[in-house]
Amino acid sequence: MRGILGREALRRGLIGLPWGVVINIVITLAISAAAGTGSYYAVTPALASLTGSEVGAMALQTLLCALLGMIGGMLSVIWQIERWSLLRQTAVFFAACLGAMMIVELLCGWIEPSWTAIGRAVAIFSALFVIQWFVLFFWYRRGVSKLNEKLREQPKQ
Amino acid sequence: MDVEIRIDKEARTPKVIIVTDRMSEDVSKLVSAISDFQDGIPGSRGGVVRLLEPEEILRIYTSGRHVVASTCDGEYVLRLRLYELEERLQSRRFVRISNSEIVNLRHVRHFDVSRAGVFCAVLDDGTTTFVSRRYIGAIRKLLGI
Repeated sequence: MRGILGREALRRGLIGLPWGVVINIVITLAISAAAGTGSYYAVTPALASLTGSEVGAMALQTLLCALLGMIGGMLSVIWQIERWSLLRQTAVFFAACLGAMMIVELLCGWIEPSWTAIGRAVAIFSALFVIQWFVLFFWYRRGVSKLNEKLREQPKQ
Repeated sequence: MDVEIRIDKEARTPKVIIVTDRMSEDVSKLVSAISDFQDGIPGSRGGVVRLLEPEEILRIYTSGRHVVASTCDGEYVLRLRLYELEERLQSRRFVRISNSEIVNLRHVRHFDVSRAGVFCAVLDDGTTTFVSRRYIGAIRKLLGI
């Protein structure tokens, strides 16, 4: 089972890798369009000064986003672990994604390296996952009610 | 092999008893032939083989190398594999709920989901068994949802 999951994680990671790059480009295009100046804002000034050039910064950002996509793809295999509860799957997926996201966000300069900014980012991320968990849980509860309704309708013998 | 037929006007359904000193390949083949003729599934307990009617089986699960059927009067070890039983019993309202278990929907009292998001099925004998989210779709289909 572990072998199968490992291979599946690798497969999903390879699919996620290019998606990380695509999402990075889409987001930078969206931000640049929203700025309305006609210029393309691919990277933050902080990252550009860290690497010494915009090209270097974009290369690093692309690499990090590719890795993020790969990690996200690999982590999605957590939802295939049958014996884990929804709570455990959500908690592990959330913690791993948060860790990876925070590292990339700080390195790319998407958030300031301050405790306030980090705290805000963690709070927003956590809120999204809590909402997701509640939505999924109540959706499952509703599904179970429907199953039980149909069970009561069926003849026993 | 001697064959004996005894007429008993009080016997509601035919009953086949095989008297032998040990289980052999011939006896196994005979049991298989009878079970193919009938709907029943041969199950053994304490050295005794009995044909189990699908209606009396609550669930069938794998335990180590064995496939076990749980009925109201106890558990029986089956010879067939789980996937073979699943195919054979599909029309009798049996559905797979995890990689290692199929249940008789007629003996499921209700389904439930815990606060931790674990699905389970509560059976007529009070047993609670784990249901994998992966198989919820198949259960819904069998129930006509």
